[in-house]
Amino acid sequence: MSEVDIVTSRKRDSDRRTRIHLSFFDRTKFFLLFGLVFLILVWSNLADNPILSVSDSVKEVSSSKSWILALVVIEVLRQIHFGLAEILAPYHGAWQKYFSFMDRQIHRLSDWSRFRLSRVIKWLLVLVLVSVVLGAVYKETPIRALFLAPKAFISALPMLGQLLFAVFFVIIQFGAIFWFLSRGGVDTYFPDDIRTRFTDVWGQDHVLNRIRENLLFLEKPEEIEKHGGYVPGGLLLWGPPGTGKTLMAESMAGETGKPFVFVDPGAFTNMFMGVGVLKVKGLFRKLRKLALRYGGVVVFFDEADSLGNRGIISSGGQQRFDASSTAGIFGDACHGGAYLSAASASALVHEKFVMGGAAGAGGGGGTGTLQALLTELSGLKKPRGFFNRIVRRTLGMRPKNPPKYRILVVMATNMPEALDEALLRPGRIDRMYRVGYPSKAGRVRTYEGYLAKVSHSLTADEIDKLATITPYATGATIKDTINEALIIAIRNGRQSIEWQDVVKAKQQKELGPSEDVEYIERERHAVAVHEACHAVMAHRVRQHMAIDLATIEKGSDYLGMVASIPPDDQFTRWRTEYESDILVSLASLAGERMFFDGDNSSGVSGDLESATTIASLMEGHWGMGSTISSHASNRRFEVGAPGGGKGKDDTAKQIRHALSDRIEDNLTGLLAKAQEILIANRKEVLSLAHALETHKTMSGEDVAAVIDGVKGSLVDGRPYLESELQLRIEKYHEASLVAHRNHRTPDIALPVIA
Amino acid sequence: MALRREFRENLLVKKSLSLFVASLLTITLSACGVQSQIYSSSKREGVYYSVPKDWNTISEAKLNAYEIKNAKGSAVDRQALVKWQSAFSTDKKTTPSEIFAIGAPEKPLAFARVRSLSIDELNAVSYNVLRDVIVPLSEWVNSPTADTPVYSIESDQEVVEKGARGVRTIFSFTHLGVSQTIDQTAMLSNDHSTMYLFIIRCTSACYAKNKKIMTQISNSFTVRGAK
Repeated sequence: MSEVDIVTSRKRDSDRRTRIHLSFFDRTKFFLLFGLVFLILVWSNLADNPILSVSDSVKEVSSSKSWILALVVIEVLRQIHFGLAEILAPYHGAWQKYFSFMDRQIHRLSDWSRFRLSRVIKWLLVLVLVSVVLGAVYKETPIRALFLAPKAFISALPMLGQLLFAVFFVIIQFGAIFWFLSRGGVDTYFPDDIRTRFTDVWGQDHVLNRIRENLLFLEKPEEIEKHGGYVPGGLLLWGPPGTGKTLMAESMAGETGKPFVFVDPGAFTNMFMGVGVLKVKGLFRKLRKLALRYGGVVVFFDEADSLGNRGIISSGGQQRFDASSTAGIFGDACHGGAYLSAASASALVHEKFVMGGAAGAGGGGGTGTLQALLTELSGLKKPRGFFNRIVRRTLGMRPKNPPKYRILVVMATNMPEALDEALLRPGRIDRMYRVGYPSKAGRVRTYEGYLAKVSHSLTADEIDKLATITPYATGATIKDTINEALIIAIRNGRQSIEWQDVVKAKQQKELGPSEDVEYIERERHAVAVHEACHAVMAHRVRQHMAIDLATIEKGSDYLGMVASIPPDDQFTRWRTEYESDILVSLASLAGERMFFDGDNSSGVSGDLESATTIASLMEGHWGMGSTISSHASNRRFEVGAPGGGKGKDDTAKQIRHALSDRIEDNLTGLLAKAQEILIANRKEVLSLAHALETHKTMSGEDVAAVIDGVKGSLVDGRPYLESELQLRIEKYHEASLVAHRNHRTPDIALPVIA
Repeated sequence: MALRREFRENLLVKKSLSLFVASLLTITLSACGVQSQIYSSSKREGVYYSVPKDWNTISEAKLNAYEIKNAKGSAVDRQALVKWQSAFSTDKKTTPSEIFAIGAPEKPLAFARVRSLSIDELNAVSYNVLRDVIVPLSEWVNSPTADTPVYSIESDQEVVEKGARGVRTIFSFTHLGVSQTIDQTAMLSNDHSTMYLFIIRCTSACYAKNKKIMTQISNSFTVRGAK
């Protein structure tokens, strides 16, 4: 074995037989110190007597300050002792034995007693030194000088006061500026200040029940604490905007018997660095005070995403896989994070976020604010109070443990992914609740709630239908719709809201105000046929969505529109559904070509874009095409699409089967199918186009009525079954087609139903 | 290379530190002797002078006691104005009476005094007044009479110090048949409130013999002024 292979550790002190060699500096440092003191004394002597020679000054100091020589001698002896211990093992051994004996003697006393004893000795030593120095200053005996010093101190107090004032004046100025800057943004409500109750929050019962549970623990902490648990300290309410998070917080404030502190989202946005930290500290000081006085406190951070985060990298390697953070990564369908192994899931997150360059940091109220908040939420539990910290410690008593502050932190955000990882860990935010779109039952109850405040003639069935056709309605949008309906009713000279007002209000809210543009006849007919093709196709092939409304009134960014809604709360999508979506999209192109002799407008561009996007996703992402591999992953790893584009073996056939071709194949097939369906439904398309030209905007129910030839709520579809009307409509279409070709007005006016 | 330079630098530091400690120890140990001079001073009044270490001091207490005991009339008031005084002689047996007597001492005798001036003195003070502190020298020069003793002035020059200014006069005169030489420095503080006096004297023969050392002592007289 070579010498390199022998690994030896540095010897322990107990393994040495002689003392470790002192470094050169350690050997000389005291000599240097004494030398320096000696030189200072000589210099001071010389400065004191202008006729004194240097040699006489040295002699004078040597004789008058002989203690320094004594110290030098002691140091010399010490160095000799060390020198011997470094050379002679027996000598060193004897001393070690002596030291261990002394150690044993000293350790008979408890640590605490030794600490106190050493403290007393140190104080005495300091006192002796101070009195000797004062004695030299006052040319008095040290003891007497010790009593003279306080007198001098008192006489110097006015000057000290002036100095202190000068110093504190600046500090007070700064303090005052920061104090003023750190005001605001925090409102405290005491019980009964707010009248909102849980009963005022509709459609979110499942979340409310959880919140109620948390409040119960806050009000009766012993329920959980006596069993060894602790009161959950933090709640996060997250979900889309307008779903009632703030209202829930308000109702919490109304329900709880504890003070409620509302923190403004802008409270931590400051002009100066450090003010945010002061604000957080000030806020929590206040919270602790309130928690002690009232036995608990609720603090609510609205729009908590304004607190910012420190970037996804700060959370370290392993990511969390809760729905809030990874929904965007794994998609909201079958959540990949839930069944994959941690490593696989982490790799996916890393790919998406880090490689994707989405590691966005920042936000928040400035450096340190978030960190201060994190520390306050779950930091060291510091002893409180001057008496506790200073007086008890001075008397040698252990400070009392800090009391239990029962602070319930509630945060609300619609961007949970913008929150810092550390903020959401258990101990800070223990529970996270998604405040989603209200369920249908919730929406019914919300409609009922808001309708109860106004006069209306809506039946229970109508309210149910309203809830069905507004699947993503939130508390805020429902309130707005009802208010809009009331405005429409009042504008029409009525005091009570009717069904048509609600439908009109809903259409206005969804479509925005129409631009009141009157199309020329041939263009109106073309738009009506275009929308009718969409609507008929949707009615015929699409079962997972119901038509909400169809319109040919021009909006800001569309000529006409067929809007659809899901009739049920459905969370998965199927290939047949996507195919029917594509058919509905392609219906416009197929219809225009069919009804306008192969011609088609640029108005189909948006439809084709949607169709292509869905077809691409089906082919490349959702496993609904002829290949399995995910195009997203293929592209990221640059491996190319299956069957094409890479390597020497490229053939025309392989290229033909590249992704875009497969998409095109799929779309071509679906376009042909759309044409077949429209040919079979020519009569229905022209009927609906006529109805749209007549009524401009129709509800989904009326659209279905026209197609099926039944009576709708506002439009009667039965006349369209009559062949005479059909003939007139067909003639009108022929005339419009001629007008379209020749760019003139149709010869025949729009048929009117008697 | 870098390692060698570092080694050299280390060695240099060690050498300088060792030299410092060694010289310090040498100075400290060699200094365990007696001072070459006796330094007499009043730090409060800012007055300093030194005499050879074999000179003998006549304590301030003895001087004060003698003066108080023998003062009469206006001398009592003047004595009350004395702030500090000190005297040395080569003769161990020198008494305070010899210090204050006008008679010529056989052996060198140094005397320093710091005294406040009364209002009248302050109004009348001039360089001549300072010259006339011991004997009326200016009168002897300006208006000699038949009683004027035999005298000679060796030197008379202005002295300017940090805290005071005045005149240093070296003169001889005969009293009771014995010639005496006095090296006298009399100064007035810058605010005219205090007079500083230093005289070193003995018989003219003695002065001639010890002129070098006596001049040295007189030169050491330094006034910085009261703090």
